[in-house]
Amino acid sequence: MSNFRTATIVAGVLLVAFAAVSGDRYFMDIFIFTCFYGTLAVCWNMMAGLTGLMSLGHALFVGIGAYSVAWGLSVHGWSPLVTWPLGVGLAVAAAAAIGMLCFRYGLRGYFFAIATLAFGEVAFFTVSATEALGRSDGMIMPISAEDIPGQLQFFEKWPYALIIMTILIGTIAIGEALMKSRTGYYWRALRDNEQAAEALGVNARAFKLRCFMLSAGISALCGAFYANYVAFVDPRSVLGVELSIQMLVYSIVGGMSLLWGPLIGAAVLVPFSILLRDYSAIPGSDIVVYAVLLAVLALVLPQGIAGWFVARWQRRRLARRASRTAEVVS
Amino acid sequence: MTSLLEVQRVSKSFGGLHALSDVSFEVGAGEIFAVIGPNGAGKTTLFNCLAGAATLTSGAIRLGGQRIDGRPPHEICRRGLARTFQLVKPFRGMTVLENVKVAAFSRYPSTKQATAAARAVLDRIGMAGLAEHDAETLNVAQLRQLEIARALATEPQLLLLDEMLAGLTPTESTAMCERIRQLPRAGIAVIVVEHSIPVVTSLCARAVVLCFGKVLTQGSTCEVIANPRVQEAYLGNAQS
Amino acid sequence: MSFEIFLQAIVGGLANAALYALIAVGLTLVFGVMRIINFAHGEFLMIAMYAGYFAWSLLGIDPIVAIALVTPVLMVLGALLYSSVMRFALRVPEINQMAATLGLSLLLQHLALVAFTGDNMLVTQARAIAGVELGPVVVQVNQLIACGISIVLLGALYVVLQRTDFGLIMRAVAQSRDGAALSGIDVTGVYKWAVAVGIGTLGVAGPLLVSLLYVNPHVGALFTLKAFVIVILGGLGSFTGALVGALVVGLAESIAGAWFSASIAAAVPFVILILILLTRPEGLMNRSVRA
Repeated sequence: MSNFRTATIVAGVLLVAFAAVSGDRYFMDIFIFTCFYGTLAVCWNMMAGLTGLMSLGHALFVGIGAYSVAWGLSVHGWSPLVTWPLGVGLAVAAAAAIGMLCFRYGLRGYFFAIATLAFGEVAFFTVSATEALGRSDGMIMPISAEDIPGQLQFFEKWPYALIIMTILIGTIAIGEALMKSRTGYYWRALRDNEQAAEALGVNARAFKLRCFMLSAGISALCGAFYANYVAFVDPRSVLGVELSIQMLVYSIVGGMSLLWGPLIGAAVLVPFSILLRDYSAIPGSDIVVYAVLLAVLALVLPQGIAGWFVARWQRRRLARRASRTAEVVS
Repeated sequence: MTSLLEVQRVSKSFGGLHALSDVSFEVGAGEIFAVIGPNGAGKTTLFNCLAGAATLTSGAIRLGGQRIDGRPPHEICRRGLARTFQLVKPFRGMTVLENVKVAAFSRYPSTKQATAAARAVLDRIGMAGLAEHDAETLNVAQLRQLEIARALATEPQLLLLDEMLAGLTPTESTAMCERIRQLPRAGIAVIVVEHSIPVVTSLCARAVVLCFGKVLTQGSTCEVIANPRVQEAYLGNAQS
Repeated sequence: MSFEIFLQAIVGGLANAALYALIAVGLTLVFGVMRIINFAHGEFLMIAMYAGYFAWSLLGIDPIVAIALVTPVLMVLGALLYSSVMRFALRVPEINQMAATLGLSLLLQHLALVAFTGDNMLVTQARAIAGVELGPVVVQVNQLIACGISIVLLGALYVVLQRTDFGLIMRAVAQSRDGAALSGIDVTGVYKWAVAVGIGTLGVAGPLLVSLLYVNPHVGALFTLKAFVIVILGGLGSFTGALVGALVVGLAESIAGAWFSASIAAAVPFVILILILLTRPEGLMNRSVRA
């Protein structure tokens, strides 16, 4: 399994955490949300940190996934076997369309961020005004008293935990495989210097588009999971800018240069903010903490927590190697 | 001598500024050809047009008989035209080997083959010892070498070298010239943009002189350099 | 839609456009000089609106008079913003710059929520319901005042930027930071002033706006996004571009509001942005290389 070392380690850690929280619904809930936001942050960062495309409209794709499930179930009674692929397919198609538009004109940096933000906001306002999708009140999905595994309806929380863990581990595994392949090298090259990469035979538009579509697809998968787990979707929670910003927060705090960096950010911040939200006397104090961490870490520790540790570790290894070489020479 | 690259009446303007007007020349397979001219003559713009980084206003460019103008840069690279940049910048956070691998992937999609190809290029250019070094730690001469290594890893028929000797010490320059001189033996034609006249005369048999975006003269390097108008253009530049 | 309603929408749109321009100019000024987009721009407007509101509700100061008090406060806040965030943001990658100012924007929103609650607040003077008839259309007195003051200030800013040494120095720094530094310009000082003036303009816009529109902690985000669209429409960093962008957005929003509904009108700026992407991206990209 040397090809999937990170995925294996993540899977191991997740299983330990899962075992630790099983039996307690509250902590299981925190675990599930940590995995949920962790997956979103990791797939968002595949674009931002690894390819250099910062999207501020990723909530759009989460929303497409979530609303596909909510609408499909409440209106047609469709099973997740239909609604999940539908959501993912729609999100990938949306990403392809938006991406072609943006990349055709070489939008980068601020421009790409603001363009994606605009698409996300249009979706937010459109859904908020659409009767069939429950307007800004959202859609409450029908729930029955007993478990219906075919509709992913369970009283217990552990089945949901297993699903989101699988998605998370799968995302890390896909990312890891890609980073070691041509695609990963091309992404990093594009992040650093698009012009030089193109001169070396990299089809910039195609590879950026693929990255965007993959990231959007995974986001929609998470959105679909969210709808089935929470059984309620509304524009603010699955389409709002705040959700897109959350992905940014976890990535900045964890470390954007690493595939698994954002996961560290989510693992630190999600439980912390849920506890703060539930137990703090001041409403919104979780967001204040987020905001301060975001602003301060972005400026003071640009490589993030995980990035800082990895850099330190690498420096030490290099120093050790250098001293060994020096000994041999002397 | 068959022509590898044909540049026919190429013009490029930015708004009202004519960066290139009516530039035509040909480069044969296995030749080392020079593009010379004072600052602002349009040499870098010409390279950008050849490599597809800039679109032509009019004219045609053929590589091996096929039109390449209007094609995107990555496709021109695949057709066998590689370039280096005046400002050398490696991909950050990658080792020397990884930098070259990015280029090798254009011919070998599988990681294993690309790694082997990249190592072979580094061996050939004498950089094997630096393969695992972080590319950001290289000095100027090593960065230039890496730039050539990356271009070679795309397995070009024609290599465009933009000011490869600027900022190098005399010893480093000599080594670099020797390396460039060997390229035709591997079947690679080279176009150099260069300021130093002695370097051009020692490296290239033929040259084209650009001045204010127009071809001043072209032909064998010695003749071109002896041309009074060329001398005037250079001296005029030196005086200003 | 009758002709009168259409005309009414046009007049309303024009009045809004003047205020929008004032808000967007501050954003574009900071970007033009520092190359950093301040995602917390709207939050400073929100602060100025609260300041205008409390000056009226607690001290009984007319919003027009309050401008004279709020503007210096906002300029000081701008200088503080420079020395606490923007100064450090110059050294980090673009994504981190965005993250830092986004973080600041979230922070200010939630501090406002704690301090002022989420309630909507509005200055309601007798003047607020007064209108002036201009032929078939009626314009609110407050709208006229806001529009007039905005235009005067925009004119003054234009003169300062184009005709004075200060403006010249600012444009020099915008074009080349190193070049300006080499010519002996105190670049740091210019940055600080640019941010102070850019945020200071909001000190004028805030009190004017709070007599037209409710203030709540989230009102800023909306204006940040609108300002982005305006600034991108006109070309990032361009003063006159921002004026044109504000006209387009103000009119389109107002007409869409009259034609369809308020919810559709809210999406209009973003639809405009997407249309620009589709049709005239060069207008958008030209300036992005270098202002």
